[in-house]
Amino acid sequence: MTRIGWIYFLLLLAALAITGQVIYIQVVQGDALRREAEQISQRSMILPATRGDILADDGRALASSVPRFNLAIDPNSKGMKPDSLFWNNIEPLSAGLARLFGDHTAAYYSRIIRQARKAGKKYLILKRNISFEESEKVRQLPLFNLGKYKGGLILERVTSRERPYDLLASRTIGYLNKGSSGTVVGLEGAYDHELKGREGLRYEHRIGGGQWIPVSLDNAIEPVDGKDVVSTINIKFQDVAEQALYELLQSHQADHGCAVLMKVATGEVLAIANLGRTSDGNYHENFNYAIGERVEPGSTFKLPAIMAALEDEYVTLDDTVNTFHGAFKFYDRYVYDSHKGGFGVLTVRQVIEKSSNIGMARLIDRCYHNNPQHFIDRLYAMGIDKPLNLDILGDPPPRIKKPGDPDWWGTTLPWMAHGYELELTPMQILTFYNAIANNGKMVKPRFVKGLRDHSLMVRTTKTEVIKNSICSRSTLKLARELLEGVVERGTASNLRPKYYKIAGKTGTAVIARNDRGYVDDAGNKAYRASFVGYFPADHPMFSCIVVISRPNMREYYGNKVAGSVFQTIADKVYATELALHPQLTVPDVLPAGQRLPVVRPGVWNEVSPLLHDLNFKVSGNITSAFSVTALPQGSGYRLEPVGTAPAQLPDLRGFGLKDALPVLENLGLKVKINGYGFITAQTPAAGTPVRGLHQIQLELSVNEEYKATVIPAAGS
Amino acid sequence: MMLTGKNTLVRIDWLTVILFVLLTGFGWLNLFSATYDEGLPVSLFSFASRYSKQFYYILAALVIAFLVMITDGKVWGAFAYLVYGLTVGLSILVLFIGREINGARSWIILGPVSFQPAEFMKAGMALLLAKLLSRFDFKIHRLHNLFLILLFTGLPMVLVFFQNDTGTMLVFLALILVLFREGLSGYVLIFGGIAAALFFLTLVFPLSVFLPVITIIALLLTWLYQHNFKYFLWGVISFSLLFGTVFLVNRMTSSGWSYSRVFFVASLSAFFLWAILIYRYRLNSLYLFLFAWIGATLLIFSVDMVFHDLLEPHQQARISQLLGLVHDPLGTGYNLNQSKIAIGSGGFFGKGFLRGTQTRFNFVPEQSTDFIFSTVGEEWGFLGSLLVIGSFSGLLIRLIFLAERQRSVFSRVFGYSVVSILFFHFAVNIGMVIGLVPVIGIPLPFFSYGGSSLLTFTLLLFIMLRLDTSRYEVIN
Repeated sequence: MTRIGWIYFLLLLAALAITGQVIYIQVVQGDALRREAEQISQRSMILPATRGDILADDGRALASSVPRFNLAIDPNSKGMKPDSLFWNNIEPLSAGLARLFGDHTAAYYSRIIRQARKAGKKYLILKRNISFEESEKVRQLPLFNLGKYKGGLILERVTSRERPYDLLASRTIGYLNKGSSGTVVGLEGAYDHELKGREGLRYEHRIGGGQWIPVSLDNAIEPVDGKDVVSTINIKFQDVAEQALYELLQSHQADHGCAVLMKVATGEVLAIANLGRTSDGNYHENFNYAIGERVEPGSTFKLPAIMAALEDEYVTLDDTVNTFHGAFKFYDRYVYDSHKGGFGVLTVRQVIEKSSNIGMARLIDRCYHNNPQHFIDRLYAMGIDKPLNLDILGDPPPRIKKPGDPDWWGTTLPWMAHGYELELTPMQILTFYNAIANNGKMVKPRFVKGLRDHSLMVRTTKTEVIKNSICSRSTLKLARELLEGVVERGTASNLRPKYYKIAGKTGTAVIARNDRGYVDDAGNKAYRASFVGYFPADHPMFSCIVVISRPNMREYYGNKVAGSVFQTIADKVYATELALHPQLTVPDVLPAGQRLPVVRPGVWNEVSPLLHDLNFKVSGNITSAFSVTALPQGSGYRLEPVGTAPAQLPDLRGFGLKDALPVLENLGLKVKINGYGFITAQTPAAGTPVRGLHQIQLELSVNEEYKATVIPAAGS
Repeated sequence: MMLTGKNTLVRIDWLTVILFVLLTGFGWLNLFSATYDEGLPVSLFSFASRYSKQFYYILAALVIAFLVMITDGKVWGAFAYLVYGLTVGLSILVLFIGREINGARSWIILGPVSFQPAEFMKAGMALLLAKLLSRFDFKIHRLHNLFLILLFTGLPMVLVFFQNDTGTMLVFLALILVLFREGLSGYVLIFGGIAAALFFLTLVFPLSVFLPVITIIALLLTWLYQHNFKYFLWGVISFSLLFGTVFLVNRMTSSGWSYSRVFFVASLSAFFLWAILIYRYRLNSLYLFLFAWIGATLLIFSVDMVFHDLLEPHQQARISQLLGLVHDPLGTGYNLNQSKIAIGSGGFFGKGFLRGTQTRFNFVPEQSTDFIFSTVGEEWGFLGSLLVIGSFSGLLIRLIFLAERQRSVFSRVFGYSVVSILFFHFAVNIGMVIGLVPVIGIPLPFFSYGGSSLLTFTLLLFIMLRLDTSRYEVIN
């Protein structure tokens, strides 16, 4: 072969090798590489679902997910040129941040930003969790008003779980992602699955410049927002319960306490307050004592004990027992009564009313001494041993010993009779008392009314019955008689409200110190005061328990300490619950001289039908949909348009925002709002020509001054 | 004699011109796709984007082509040394006033104009080689001629080496093809090829396997070539004995030599032993094998040194990548991997103009320059790739044909220089884009973005065409 031939050969070889490799890549590896190319230019985006709210029984939000922002700065943003741009604006910016947040000085902000710039940092967090309103103000600050590229402004959207009522029932509502254990407590945890909804998925593909756009208009998987959990918590009662409990704990310097208010028929928990003293000496919802604290109940257990004996017909209410002089020895242990010198001989009724420990111990010991198992069976038959299986985690089952248990002593039976050597949570005690109020039907306490999906009830929680009848009719009747007696004549005689009757039982238990007896090293005892009952006694509608642990020694009796909280709650419930009162008869027509209801200014086509529906005489010749004020005239109203002409700004004072917004936006104005409530001021003022205006600033407020200026009723 | 324009047009080799226009035009389309930004459309005449700039470069190239065609062909022979000197001078200058871009200090920037002298030096080199080899009574194997060639080609290579532009340095090596055509011994090419093959094989295979294999191959070749089994047998026995001895001595003295060092010492001992025997018994025909074998062994031992001490880390990485010694698709291999994805996803017909996702979203780094072929593969598929490969091959074959029909050595040597340079660029550039050769930063002629490269190739091509049109008039 000639030299030229070799050169041609070489050329051919190279061309063939290249062609071969191209075929190999495009044909053999083609499919795999095509897939890889698609992967690079396609992605799937997770679309987060909005977490549902936890609502109070009336629909107000107790916990809600709110968009917030984290504010940061990139002090070395590429667009921040020239250097003077930064240096000229850093001081005004810092001053603005300090003014806006008020948490640090301007000098502090200036220093950290300058340090970050010097260190070449691209990200410096300035403030977390700022609101949307704050973020809007941040955008106006010097330097930041230049935006992300030139101004280095970084606003990251985050979702924050907010609780508008702050600590209200916080332990029961629960937290998200709190604590290192990772468990979520309360309703947030119990209904997490329903609340969190389901994430969606969207496929996107890349377009030029690093931008991504959705492949199609429809998402591959639509996100499903979480359901709202409508709780049984009533904000009003919860507030009362917490406030009353707080004040009592504070005044008695108690360690902790709880109060639960329940609806008798349904078991709905209307209020559940748990407060414990923290290291700073203040009280917080630090543990769900009502649900989670299983302790010896003390005297409140005397009722189920005596009910067992009544059910077995071993005793009648008029049988007697000698309580001697306030101390009685069983084997090697003494039972004491709190009354100095003792009660002497008491009837069964008096034993309960005066809460005699010796009386109970001797009665039960007398009835069941030879067959303690029978006593336990009776208790079990009343359902007091039943675990509640509450929605909220951390609810231990009741602990009631039985003969044959390793810790069943000779003294166990008489001690159980007055509420020791067994353990129940406040919620379990309340459930038992609620059953008595509910004609023997034991229902499960519940915290949730149902689930709501965008204001539509999608699931209603039903009342669960634990036991249809805890005892015979006659025993039930006697039990209620006893509880009423406690308030009428007995230990809780201080709880006798004027308008209605309370029935219940006091308890003053000595707190066990972890199997080391009941007396501490200094010889002092610690007490747990409790009161559990229901009201109104004749037609029970609400049941309630209050437990206060370790009040100071000055006053520790159940009736005084726990009873006062009970009564505060009961009073409030009685005063506000319409169902508890006979219906008022209201005359259909207002008599002459009677004040007319105040009608706030509003949109014509809403105000007018409303007044017509209420059978008021409406005058005034208005045919446009513009806003009106309703002025009282005779026994009706005269409607007058607001503002002199649509071409001028109306006087918006007194309007709700809902009415003002459509009016203003229809005029083509951008509305800026400050505050909440009713409109109290506007800039520009009423009468300003709308022409040429772009924006209106409204001040909202709920202040009293404005309310006083509403139009007075005719004749007054 | 000055040719009239009319004659030039008649005699010009239109096939080459058509291929040139085809490649340049298709090249620009691909460059447009690789650099066009939907969000930021730039007018073709605005000088604000690469495709519009390249548009101007193409216009400039056409002007230069025209100027070359109307100039007397003899100019190039007359001014060959001057042009060479000028381009070399610029290359020296760039070392002092050059700007460093992408690690290569090879740019001269004069106001709005920036260019790479190394590119133009290719043209200077081609002219010089043509001039040198066409000297009267030039014999390539004369020592002083070889020395001159080495000197004149070595200088540009040293210069680009100092500009840190290894790719262009290797381009000059391609001129060995010209020398081969002009009579350089084929052994130079063969040994060069074997050395290169050994280099890569050494990197792939462990020495412990490779060294014995080479030795056995050498011995086997001796046997086959000499038809004498005795030599083979004695060779194996003597080598084994020597190796065993060195091995045992190493063991007993606990010198701790590595296996390869033991083998090396054994090989050197064998070499001297065999050299003495061959000399003693006058087996002159065996010298070739002996030296080839010891040369290969020495080369193998030097590979490690060359690879680790002479090559830059990124060059080592690219070679390791090619040989499959490392797999790092997100690091060193990123560029090649993205390029392969682009080409592979193109399939047979391609995704269509402006429809290549890899191209449009800038996944392939340096796509508008060295990796422009990946755009061809992605958007025009196998058909487009075949068109490019075919056009280049056609152009090269046509140029060889043109070179061969020249009557003057100057024109022929120049033609072959153009062929060599173009061939190297074509084969190595596309080879690296598809993963056949290590990544070496050289552009694809007429395709890659860049004025210097386009103008140089246009210049080379049209000087050749100009020489061709006047092939009957020039005899020197």
